[in-house]
Amino acid sequence: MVPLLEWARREGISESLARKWIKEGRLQAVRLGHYWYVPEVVDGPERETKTYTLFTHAGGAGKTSLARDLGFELASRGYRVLLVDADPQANLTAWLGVDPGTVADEETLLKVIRQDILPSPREVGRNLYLIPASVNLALGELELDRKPLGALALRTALERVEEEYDLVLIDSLPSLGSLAVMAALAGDGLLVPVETGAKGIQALRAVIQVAKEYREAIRKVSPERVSGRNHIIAAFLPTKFDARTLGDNRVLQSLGELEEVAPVAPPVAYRPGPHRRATEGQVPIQLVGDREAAEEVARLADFLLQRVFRFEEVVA
Amino acid sequence: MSAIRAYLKGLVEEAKSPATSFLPLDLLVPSPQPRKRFENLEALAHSIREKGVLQPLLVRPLGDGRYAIVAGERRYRAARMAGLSEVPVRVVELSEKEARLFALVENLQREDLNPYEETVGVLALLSEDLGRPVEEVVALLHRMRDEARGKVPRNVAGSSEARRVEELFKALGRMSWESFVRHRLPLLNLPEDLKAALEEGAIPYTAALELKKVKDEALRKALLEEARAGLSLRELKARVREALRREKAPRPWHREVGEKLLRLDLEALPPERRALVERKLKELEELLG
Repeated sequence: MVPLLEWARREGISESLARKWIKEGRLQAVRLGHYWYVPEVVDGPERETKTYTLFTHAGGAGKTSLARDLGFELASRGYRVLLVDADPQANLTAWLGVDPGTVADEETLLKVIRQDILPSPREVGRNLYLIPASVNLALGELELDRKPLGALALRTALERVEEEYDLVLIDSLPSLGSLAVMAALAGDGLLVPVETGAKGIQALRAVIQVAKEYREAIRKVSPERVSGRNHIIAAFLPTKFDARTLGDNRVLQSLGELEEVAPVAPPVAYRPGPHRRATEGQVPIQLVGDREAAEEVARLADFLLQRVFRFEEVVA
Repeated sequence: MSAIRAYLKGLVEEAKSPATSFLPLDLLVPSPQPRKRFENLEALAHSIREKGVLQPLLVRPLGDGRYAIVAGERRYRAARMAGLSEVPVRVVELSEKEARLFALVENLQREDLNPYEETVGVLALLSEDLGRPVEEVVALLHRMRDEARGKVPRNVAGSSEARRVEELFKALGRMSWESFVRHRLPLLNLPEDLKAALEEGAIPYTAALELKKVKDEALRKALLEEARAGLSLRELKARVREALRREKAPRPWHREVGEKLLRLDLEALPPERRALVERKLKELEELLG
């Protein structure tokens, strides 16, 4: 938004002429209080699409809730967000109000696996798009094993639609099979939810190991993306943190050690009530009327924007 | 420090250690191995110049700052040719014996070893594994075969060494030990000049088997030179056949005449020649009584 006076001077015309144009409808402007402003298309540097995969083979760590809530949070801040449900269980799909039973194969990642084309996503909110999943996606696992370079199929397909989205979040499945590999290799790195507890950190060893292998795989196709790194973990996201228990507090403190590997996000607390209301109501947790839960997601989004996504410029 | 913290510290170390590290070529030492030829190095060097070394070499520390190549000597040579100064490696802690076994197995799993190299490789593997010199391994194999045929009383069959031999062949999955003894061991009895040519990779092993038939050393040397110069196997076979015919002592000429007489059909001869032949035969009959 440029003040009218400023705009007129830049265009080399008088302010009164500009006002006249507004009256005649030749110039689009909005009035805020006493002043007129001209909306301006900012030709800033093209924002690069950032793609991240919520990844861990441990089930119940919070991948899907995080994908849904972070996606909603960033979309409502003006980022164009594409969510990709890579899990045949299709929880993300269902939780966003899409009945997986109505999802055709061509709408899911099966299209990527079979035709190397990204399906057109469903719009599930303002700035928020979804490539849904259905139970048939499980077939993709078998088809991927037979497909040469199948592990890179999603990465290649996403490269073709870059610039349509600011952020792509992929919700992976709790496995280390070929679908999970394809999801992991698709983007700029892994967001690893860690359940704050013994089970959560036990899963880390395998995650770190595969993250190193994935880094090698990506190095072969885009070495510049992984130079100077040994792995592709972009951040650890502690989840299901129960501040009332001593054990969880100890684990959370210790998780700080992982900062040497990748940024460790502020924890997401264990909130069974709001979580249930969100899934039942098919809405993000920000919309169930729990202020703390909403603030927590906002803090997490701030953290990711600052330390992980690092968009060059902020949306106006 | 709590157990959790110690565990996580370990993970951090693990994450920080690179999956692949790089080592300067000068620190790498090739190990002796069954592969004697390095064909198409140029092509590999070219690909390395374009894309780099895609698969890390397997090396083990020698303890003096240098590393022995366990697997990947071909890549090592090609990287040298391509002018690289360092290559990706995976460092593994192996004892010398383990490393040798590993290299032998790795080399045997290649597709492009010729049967002679394969034979030498398998024997080296058996010798390494059993801790016996190659000659004893060969003797053991022959003994096993003779016992299996029932020629000699069973002494080694079922012994731990014989069982180990059977296991190794099964694990290699190439051939049975029986077929190895029957078809491959004879390759070791080649004359020295042929063995040398095979090891250099100057001639294919099929040519060596062909040349082995020629016993006359001077003649074999001449043919070997031709084979080295690129004589085709087909031509070589023809030459060998010819040479063998010449090598055989010529038959006494009168027997050849006798053989011709056996096939003689007087009726078919023109009248004048027939009269002449009949007269000579009569003379011959009288002479021989």
